[in-house]
Amino acid sequence: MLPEPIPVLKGKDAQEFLKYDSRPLSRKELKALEKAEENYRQMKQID
Amino acid sequence: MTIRPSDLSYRKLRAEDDLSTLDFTQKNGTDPAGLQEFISKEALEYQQERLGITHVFFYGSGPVAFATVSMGDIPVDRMQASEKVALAEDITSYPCLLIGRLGVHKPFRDRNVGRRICDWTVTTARRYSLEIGCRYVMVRAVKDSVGFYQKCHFECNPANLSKDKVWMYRRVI
Repeated sequence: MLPEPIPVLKGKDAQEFLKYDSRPLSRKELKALEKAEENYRQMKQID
Repeated sequence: MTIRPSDLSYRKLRAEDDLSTLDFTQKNGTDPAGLQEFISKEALEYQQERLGITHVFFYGSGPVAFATVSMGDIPVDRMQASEKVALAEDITSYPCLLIGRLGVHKPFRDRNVGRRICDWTVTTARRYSLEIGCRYVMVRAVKDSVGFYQKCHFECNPANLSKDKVWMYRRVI
């Protein structure tokens, strides 16, 4: 399960957040991660 | 015919495995990444020395591909500027899962096996990242493989595209 998208902050909160921020994943990237997880689950691990 | 994820199974390389009869060379017969040599002679020793763990992927009961992975790090200056984390501005590289080798047996190329393995590495890295810092999956791709990794959502710094091997990465968190 992917984390919820980060809420949009404004004003002083946003400035404080940006100080530590990194590029948020795009919708396309998030979707690709979800798909990867789905595919991973379908592959069977042999012991 | 496309291979579905549910058609594939995987496990770690074993001493009794013999993948030397499979063909991991390029269409023109060359092997710029040294896959054939590696899987035939070195993979097991790498695994025993914990330099890289090789996972073999099966279609039915037959092996069709392998991926060797290890911990790694990717220099920040090999990435696009947008990847920088402000919090960690003094860090010169970010932790990643490194795809050291990835090979698909020739008859199974262009059937999505490689993409499934990339999905496997990405999800494996995401899961490990909860226990050990890991932000990317990374590969040093030979020129002929750059297009494949781009299709698998890997990125690179365009300034490095002219190099013999291109540092490519995909965020996993």
